[in-house]
Amino acid sequence: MIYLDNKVREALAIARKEILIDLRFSIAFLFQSIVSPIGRLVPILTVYAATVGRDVVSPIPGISKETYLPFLALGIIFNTIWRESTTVFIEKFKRDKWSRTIDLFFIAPVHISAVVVGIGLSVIVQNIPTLLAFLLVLLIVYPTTLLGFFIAFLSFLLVTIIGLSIGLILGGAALSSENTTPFLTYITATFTFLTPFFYPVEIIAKLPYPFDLILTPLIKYNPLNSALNLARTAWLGSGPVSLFDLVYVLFTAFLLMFISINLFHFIWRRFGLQIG
Amino acid sequence: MLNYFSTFRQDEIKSATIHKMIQGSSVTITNLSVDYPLPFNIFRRNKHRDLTQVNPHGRYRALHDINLVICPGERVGIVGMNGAGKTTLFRSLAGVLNPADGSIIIDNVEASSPRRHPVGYMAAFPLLYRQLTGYENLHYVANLYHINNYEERIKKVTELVGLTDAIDKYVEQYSTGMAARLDFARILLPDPPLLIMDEPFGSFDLHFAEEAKKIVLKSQATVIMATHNLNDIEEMTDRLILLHRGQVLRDINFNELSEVAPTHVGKKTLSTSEFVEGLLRRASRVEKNYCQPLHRRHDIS
Repeated sequence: MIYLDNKVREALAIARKEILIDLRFSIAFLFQSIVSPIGRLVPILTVYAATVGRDVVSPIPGISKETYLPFLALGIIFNTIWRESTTVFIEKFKRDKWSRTIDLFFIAPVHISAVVVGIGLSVIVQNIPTLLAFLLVLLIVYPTTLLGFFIAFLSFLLVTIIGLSIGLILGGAALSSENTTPFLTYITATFTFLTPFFYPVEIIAKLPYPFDLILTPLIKYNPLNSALNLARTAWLGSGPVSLFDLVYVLFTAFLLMFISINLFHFIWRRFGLQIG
Repeated sequence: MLNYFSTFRQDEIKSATIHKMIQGSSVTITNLSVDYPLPFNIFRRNKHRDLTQVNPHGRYRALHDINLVICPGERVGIVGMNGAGKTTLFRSLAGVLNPADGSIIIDNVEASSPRRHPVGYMAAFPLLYRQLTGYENLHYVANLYHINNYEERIKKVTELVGLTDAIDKYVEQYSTGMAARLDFARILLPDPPLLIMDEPFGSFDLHFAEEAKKIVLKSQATVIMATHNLNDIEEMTDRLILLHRGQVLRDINFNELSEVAPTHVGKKTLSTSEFVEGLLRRASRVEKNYCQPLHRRHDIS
C-alpha cells in the first residue's frame, strides 16, 4: 500500500511539475489550447459550410446540413487529443534530456510507470480547456443524451490512452536517437491521415481503384476510427452503438498500453541512458 | 601528522548545522565498465578520433574495469584530467548510466535498482527546471523522494543554503551561484547517506564554499567528490583516487601518505599542491579492496 502510495505521489509530482512549466506562460498556453485547434478547424469548416451547409441533399455521404458542425467539433476534439498525446513524450523527453533534468528520474529513482502516468495526467489536464470549449459548442449546437455524452467521453479517454501509448514508444525512440524523430513524425502523420477526424468514413467507398482497396481495410480497422465512430454515433444518435467498436477500442487501448510500457522500459534502460 | 592537516579547524566543523546525522553508505564497485555509443552523424566524420578506447562493438569505453570499495562514512576525492571518466563514474554511481560490465552495489543494493537508498548527486551543473521557482523545484524533488513533512525540510535546507528570500523566484532569475546553492539544497533534501559531488564548490562564493564544506563534513554521509581544487582534497577527503583514461591509476589513503610519498624535499616543506601533484606522479598504487576502521584526520569527537 505504501509502495502504491509512493508511486501515486511520484506521478502526481511529475504531473504538477509539467503543468506548472506549461502554465509558466499562461496566455501562450491558453492560446495554444483553444485558438490553435480553431485555426486547424477553420479551413475544413469553410469547405463543409460551402458544400454540405448549403444544399438540402448533401454531396458528402454520412453528413448532413444539421450534423456537420457537431461532426467536426467531435473530430477536432479527438484530433487535438491525438496530436497532444502522441507528441508529448517526444517533446518532454527531449527537453529533459538536453537540460539533463531527466537524470532526476534515475537519481531518485522514479518508477517508469510513475513517469508515464504523471506525464499522461498532465496531458489530460492540459487538454481540459480544449475539451470544455468544444463540448460547450457541441452542447449548444447539438445537445445529446446523458448516455451519448458518457460514451463520447469514454471514447476521448480511450483515444488518450492509445495516443499516449504510441507517444511513449515514439518518445523512447526519440530519447534513444533523435535521428528517428522525422520518421516518427511520419508515423503519426500516417495515422492521422488514416483516421476520419474530418471526413466521414463512408467517403472511402467513393475512392477510385486501387486506393479504395488499400485504404478501406486500413481505415476500417484503425482503432481510432472505431473510437470516433462510437462517439459520433452516440452523440448524434445516428444509430445503435456498435459493441464491436467498443470492445475493439478497449482491447486495443489496454494492449497498446501494456506493450508500450514494456517496450519503453526496455528502451529506457538499454538506450535511453546513453546520452552522456 | 602531516603539516597541512593543521589548516583544518575543528571548531568550524562543530558549528556547522545539518539536521540529522546519517550513517554513510558502503559502495562496492566490481569490474565496472561503462560504454557510450559513438555519435552517428553522416555530415561530421571525425577522422582523428582516438580509437584506443573504442571496444569491438564500436562503442566508446569511458570506464574500464574499475574496482573500488568505499567504506561507510569515507570521503573520497576523485581527480583526473578532463575526460578521464570522473563524471561517467558519478553518473553510474547515481544510477543514471547502466554499466556495460560489472556492478555497483550501494548498501547491498544495485545502483540502478528502484529499491536503493536515495543518493545525493550534485552534477557539475544544476539539475533544476529553470521555468520553475526554487520552491517548486524543491517541492518536486521532495515528492520524488517521498519525503514526509517536506514543507519543514524545504524550509530548513533553504535556510541552510541562504536562499530564504529568493526561494519564490524563478530559477532563470538566479545567478550561477544561487542556482548552485539551490542544487546543493536539492541534494541535502532527502538526507542521503551517499553524496556524489562533481566539482561542487566552484560556483559558490568564498564564504558559502566554506559553509558548504562544513555541512558536508558534519554529515556522516559517504562522500565521493571530484575536484580540481587541491585545497578541497586536502580539507575534505580521506582518500584520493586518480582516474586516467577510464581506469584507476592511483588509489591512495591519506593515512598512508607518508608511506608512499615524502612531505618534505630537503629543508623545504611542500605546499599541498606540490605535495599532491608529487604524490600523483610518484605514489605507487595502493590496493584498497577491504574496509578498515577509519582514522580520520578530522574526526569529530
